[in-house]
Amino acid sequence: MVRPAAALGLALVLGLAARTAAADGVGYRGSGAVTPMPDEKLEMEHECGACHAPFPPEFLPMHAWWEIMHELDNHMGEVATLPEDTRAKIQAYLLANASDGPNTERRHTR
Amino acid sequence: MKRTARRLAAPLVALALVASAALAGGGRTAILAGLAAAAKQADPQFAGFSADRGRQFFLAQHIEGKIDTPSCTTCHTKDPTAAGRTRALKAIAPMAVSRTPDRFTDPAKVDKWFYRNCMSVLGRECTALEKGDFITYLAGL
Repeated sequence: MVRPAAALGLALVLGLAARTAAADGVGYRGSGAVTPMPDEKLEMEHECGACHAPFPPEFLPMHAWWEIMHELDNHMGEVATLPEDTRAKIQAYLLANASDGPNTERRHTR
Repeated sequence: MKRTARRLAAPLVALALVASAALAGGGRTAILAGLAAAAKQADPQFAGFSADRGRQFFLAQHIEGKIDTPSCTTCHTKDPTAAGRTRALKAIAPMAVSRTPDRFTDPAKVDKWFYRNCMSVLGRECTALEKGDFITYLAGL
C-alpha cells in the first residue's frame, strides 16, 4: 500500500551504498604504481570547479601543478586556500596524472 | 493502488522538503550561536548581530585586500537575491537564504569561504561580529 515510503527507503539505502562506495576510492595498488582515483577526481572538480572550469591534470606538467598547489594563497589574484588534507589529496591527483606524471607516462609507454 | 501512491507521494515530498529546510535552519542557528559566543568574548558589550551592519559590510569597498576583489559585491553583485559570478565567470548561487536555503548551514563550508574571501577582500580574517552580521543580513532577505 505505502509504495512511496518503500521507494523512499530503498532510494536512501541505495544512496548511502553509493556514497560509501565512492568514499572507498583506492590510492595505491600493487607495485606502488599510482592508479587514477575517482573520488580524488571528484574532489578536484568540486574544489577547483567552484570558481572556474577545472583543467584536466594532463594539461600541465608536475612542476607547474606543484607550484599552483603551493601558491593557493595567491591564486590568480585571489586567496584560494584549502584545508591541508584536501589540498594534499588534490595535489597528489594532479601530479600523478600530470602531462609528465607517472600515470600518464605509463599510458604512453607500451 | 496507483492513485493511493500518487496521493501519498505529494505529502511525503512536502514533508521531506520541510524537514530538510528545518534541518538547514538548525545548522545556521548553531553557526550563529557559535559566532555570538565568540563576539561576546571579543567584546562584552556585544548586544546581538545586526542585519543593517551586515548590509553595510556586504556593500563596502576595501583597499586592504587583493586588488581585484575590493568588495563582496565584486563577485556576489549588489543584489544578494541574484546569482553572482566568479572572476572566472562561473555562476555563484544567490547569497540570500530565501533563494539558496542551504546557505550558512555547513560549518566547514562557511569557515572555508569566510577565510578565503575575507583574506581576498579585506586582507585579514573577518571577526565573529562581521560574520554574524553578514549571515544575519543574508538570512533575513
